[in-house]
Amino acid sequence: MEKRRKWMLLSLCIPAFLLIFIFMIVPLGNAVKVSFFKWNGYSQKMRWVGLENYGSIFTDKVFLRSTANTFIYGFGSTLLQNIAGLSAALFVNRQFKGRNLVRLILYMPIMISGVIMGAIQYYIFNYDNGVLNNLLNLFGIGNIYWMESGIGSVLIITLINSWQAMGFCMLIYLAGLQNIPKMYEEAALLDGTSRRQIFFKIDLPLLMPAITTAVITNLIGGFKLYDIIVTLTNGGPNRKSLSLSYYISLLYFNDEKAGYSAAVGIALFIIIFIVAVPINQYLRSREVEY
Amino acid sequence: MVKRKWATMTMALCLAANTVLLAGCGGSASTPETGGTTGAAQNQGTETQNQAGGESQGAGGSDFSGKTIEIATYLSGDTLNAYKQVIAGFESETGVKVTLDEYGEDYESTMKTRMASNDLPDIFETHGWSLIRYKEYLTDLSGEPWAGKLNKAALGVIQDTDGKLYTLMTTGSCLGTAVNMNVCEEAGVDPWAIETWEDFNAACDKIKEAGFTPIANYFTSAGALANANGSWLSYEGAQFNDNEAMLNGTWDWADFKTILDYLQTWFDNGYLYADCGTIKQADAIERCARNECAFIVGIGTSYQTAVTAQNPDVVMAMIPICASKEGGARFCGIGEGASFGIWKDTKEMDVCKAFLNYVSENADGINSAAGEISTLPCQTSKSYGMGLMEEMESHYPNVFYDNLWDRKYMPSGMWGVFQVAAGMFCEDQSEESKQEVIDYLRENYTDLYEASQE
Repeated sequence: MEKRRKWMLLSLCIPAFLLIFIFMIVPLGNAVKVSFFKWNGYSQKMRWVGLENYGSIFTDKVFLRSTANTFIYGFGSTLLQNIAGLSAALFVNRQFKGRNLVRLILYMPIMISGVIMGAIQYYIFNYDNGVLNNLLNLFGIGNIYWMESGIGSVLIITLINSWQAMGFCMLIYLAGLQNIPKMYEEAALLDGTSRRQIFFKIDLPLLMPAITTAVITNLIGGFKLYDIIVTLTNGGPNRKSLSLSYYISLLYFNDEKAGYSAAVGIALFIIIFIVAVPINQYLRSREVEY
Repeated sequence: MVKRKWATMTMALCLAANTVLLAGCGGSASTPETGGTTGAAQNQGTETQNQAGGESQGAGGSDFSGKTIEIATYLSGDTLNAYKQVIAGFESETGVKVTLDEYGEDYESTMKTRMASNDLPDIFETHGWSLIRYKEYLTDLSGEPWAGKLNKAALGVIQDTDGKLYTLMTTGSCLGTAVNMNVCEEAGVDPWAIETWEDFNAACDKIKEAGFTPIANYFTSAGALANANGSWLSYEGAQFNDNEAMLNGTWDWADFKTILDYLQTWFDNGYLYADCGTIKQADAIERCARNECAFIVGIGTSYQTAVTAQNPDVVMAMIPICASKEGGARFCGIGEGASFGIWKDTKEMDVCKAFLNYVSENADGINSAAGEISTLPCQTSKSYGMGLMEEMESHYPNVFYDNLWDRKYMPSGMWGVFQVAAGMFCEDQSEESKQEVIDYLRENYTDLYEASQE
């Protein structure tokens, strides 16, 4: 009977495994294969070049810059999203009038697609006739070219992405906070513990599973950032705000370097794997049972 | 604990795998060893309504009832609606069911993916690339009845060296210098008197003095660096004549520095918008519609159409691209507008040929809506673009027309390369940067040329 149940449960996983195989494993294998060829991405002719595409990665300035940007998008967004998300969760976890409305407002940005968010922000940060500059003009301040430099664009993208995804973090932390039994806090208060100590000694350790989920999800989301960049800066100025995901897409569809694009894709795969696994392991080791 | 570790590793592997899907989802060419066919494009098709399409012509009364063909397009707005009317007429006459895929801005990437998997629509738009990108997948249409009716401007663009034709070019885009006549008038500039780049800069100086931005070119597009090059490198009276070297892959790009030196004067003299490195065409259109800027070099007449649509009070005109020397050719580029070819492996070749024949005989509505130039004899209407072109020819009777420079002299893929180079140059116009731009162009040109010869 137990064996039969096991088989039944296993069979329920088959659709998921099939989907992963068809839409992830097969393209992954295909990408590995393509990365050994020189190919424009659409012709029926491909030329074997061995490891040449991988060799080119180390001398490609745009790749190195995009990798640095990807780390900023990944770690920067994760840091900001988690600090803001946790703060917001602590705030809306209290009892006050209009609490549900505040929760809704804080959560709303995540419901807007990244493409639309980028397009909206483009008109806010635009140099000429942008909303932000028009507001500054009211105070006698001249137009500021927010997107003039690569680093300026990268920081603006990081801020927008953090603000947009903050609501998601807030939701995770809110669920985590509501799962902490009240008795720990009550016992601590009876012992004369300060609010600050309760947060650092009780809430934070017990929130570790939520922190693990939020950090890993945000980190990978930041590493794969694509849609906001497309509509906000289009990777510019001079390809200086590209993420690796967007660079891969440009290499394939715009530059017609499908083989090299696949090699960069594999490199990104390895980067995420190397970064995400140890962080996940570390965070899980800090989780406590209660 | 071990199980948990494996679960963690598997989860991380799956998440990380997402990142390479983009590179992998394009599928593979059907190389003999793989025959890979992943990544077939999504069918975003919308079936056109079966409406009466007026008097039926062109399908020769053929009955193809029960047949279905798929057409892919990137047309939009009025031109798309006009095209749908023609499709409806064809469906009504022949009983064919047409599925129209409207890919919009994703058209190029979707078509590249579909080419990779060798699974193309029966008929698809070639948008300027019938010869250097799509030829491998297209049917020779030189024997079709409409082929002899195409005008010389069209044939110069779509006819291969061996006389073959791969697309029905219903409209053509004429690429020159767009002029805001209101701004020119206020600045006291006569744009019709501009002949050389020197004259052009003198006009820009006057426009700047009058408080306007002379040039609205944006360096997020390849156009700023690619569309006017024939004036320097290719045409009669040009400073150089590098055509042969460009076409046989031996060009060393040293002469390109002259173009960069000239473009530098636009930056040095303050002719451009401060944010020319990040704005897009939509911004240029908006600013021109607000009568803020005078010229944009190397753009099709759809630009003027869009400006006047935003502000009907703006008077727009088109002048040819300047000559690099006095007496040199002033030219306009002609590109494929609404142009459709037939997939060589379609199972409905007769239906597809009948469809293109029908389009060729019912193209007036498309021409009128597109605002571009007509390439087939026009029966009833004249487009806005045609009007601009005729006005230009009344001032410059000897305009030299040629295929778009990059489509004629560069291998496929160079448009994207020019786009990157434009960004590099916009950021830094020092001598060192110019050399970097030239090296970047040379390196990619060599690569792409070699790939095109394989």
